[in-house]
Amino acid sequence: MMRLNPDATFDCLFVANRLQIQRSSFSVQEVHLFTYLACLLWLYRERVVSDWGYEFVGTELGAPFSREIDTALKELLARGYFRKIHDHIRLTELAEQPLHDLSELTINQERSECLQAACSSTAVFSVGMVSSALAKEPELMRAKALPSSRLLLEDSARSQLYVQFDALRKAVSQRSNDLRLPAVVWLTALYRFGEAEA
Amino acid sequence: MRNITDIIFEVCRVTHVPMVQEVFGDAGLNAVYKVMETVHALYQHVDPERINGQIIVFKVVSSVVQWVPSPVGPAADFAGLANEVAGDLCFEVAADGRPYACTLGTATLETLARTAVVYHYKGAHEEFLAGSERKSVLRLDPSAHSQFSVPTFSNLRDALQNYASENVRESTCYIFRQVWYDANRLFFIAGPESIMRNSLTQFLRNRLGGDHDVWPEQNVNEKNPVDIRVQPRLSNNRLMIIEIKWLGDSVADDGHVTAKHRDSRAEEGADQLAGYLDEQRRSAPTSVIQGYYVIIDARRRNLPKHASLGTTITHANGLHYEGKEIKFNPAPRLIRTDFDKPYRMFARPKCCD
Repeated sequence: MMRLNPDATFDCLFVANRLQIQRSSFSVQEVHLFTYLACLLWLYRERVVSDWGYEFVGTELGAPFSREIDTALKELLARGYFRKIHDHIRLTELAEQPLHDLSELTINQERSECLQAACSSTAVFSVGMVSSALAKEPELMRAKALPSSRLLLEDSARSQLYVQFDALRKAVSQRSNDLRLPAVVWLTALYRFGEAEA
Repeated sequence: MRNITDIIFEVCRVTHVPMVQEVFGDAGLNAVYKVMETVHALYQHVDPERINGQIIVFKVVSSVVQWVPSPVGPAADFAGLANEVAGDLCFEVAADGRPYACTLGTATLETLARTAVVYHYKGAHEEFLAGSERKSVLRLDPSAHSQFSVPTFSNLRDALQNYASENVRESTCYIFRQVWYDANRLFFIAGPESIMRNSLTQFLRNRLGGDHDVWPEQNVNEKNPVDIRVQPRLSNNRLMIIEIKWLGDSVADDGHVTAKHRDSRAEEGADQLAGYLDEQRRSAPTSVIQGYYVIIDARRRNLPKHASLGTTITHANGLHYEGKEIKFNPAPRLIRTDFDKPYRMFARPKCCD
């Protein structure tokens, strides 16, 4: 049996549950995408990246990928918490109680806020748009420029991201402490930035 | 090019979510998300294009109104609306989070917005109202009828079929529309290929979910780039390449015909794509590669030799080729397994009768 990262396991269950409310199923890539967006919002909150609990690499296609998320997804499938339907996945009833119990834990409150804000972006954008917008985020753009996968959000590489977050804070922080606001503004801005570049 | 910081401030100024938050605070933010989720759910069952009237979805903001009476009757069943020809639709999102059908009576959108976040859709224009403010919804996918009705497809085949019916058939995509020389959609402008490619690329990026990367104009050899390359994100050995060709007449600004493409052109495109596939297989033997051939078909019968902006066409001549499939000799999909059946997408003209 594979060793599960508890943070990644909770995040998989949380994101799966949120995505499934809107659609009947979701893909594994979407879990990597929305957990990475949640991790970025964690940094926006000025928290330490190592406290997120697991790492992401940027693939040469410019997509985020986490080995811990990958392992958790496989294990949750094997244990019957997820069910595979063709290329997509569904949460089963077996997952409901563990997700409820884990969501109640104080230790998960701060990350739940980030995951919730990340998943709420699907009220405004299609998943494809979230993916296109995030591909213009400085770390994934750098990853795409290199021919091989590289670790994302390393100490030396986050400066550009923090410049964007400073601007975002100036634009929205006087108004609200709700993370959904910077999330939707930032994704819209990244998407439009990508359009201007094309 | 504008920098991202400027764009962030502009987005804050012109979009509806910050507007609602500014007017009603965090309670407004909760309300606007609830309204957007409801609109999403509605459009999963009802195509906004099929609504003859207007659509209104609102939620009273709890911090503004202390006590909101519960709506009477059962919650709305959006699935039941799927095949109905609907006029005006109005729903209130109640305190229990569920939508209830209602009528506005003598109230106006503006009076409703004093205490509620209001979504309003009419004739492909959508806006949010909050307090005395109103903002149009930024349409990031110009080919969608609503920002909240952008479906996601899990595979390229479904996406291409939808591109044909949603975007090309009636030229509803704002980008695709630029390929036409004239308002009646009889002649292409000279060299419309790049516009077609941009239109399809954007459509696929928005519709294929987070599962695929879509890249325009990728080189497969030293001579010609393939039009679009699509790659599943977590599967390095899968590759889908799309070649686009067009049939019909293209004309220069002064109306003289620059190209007339007919069936033989479609054959050339099929050969070209087959060549790309062979090339890719040689350079990446472990990859599973599939070719998709898109033919934008704007053939018309009895067009004049010189185009003018006011040229008209009858139904009989304009739609003559709509049902006429192109005969390939040999049909690429019959002689190779890595070639989908060509996707012929007929672009209809505006007919005068």
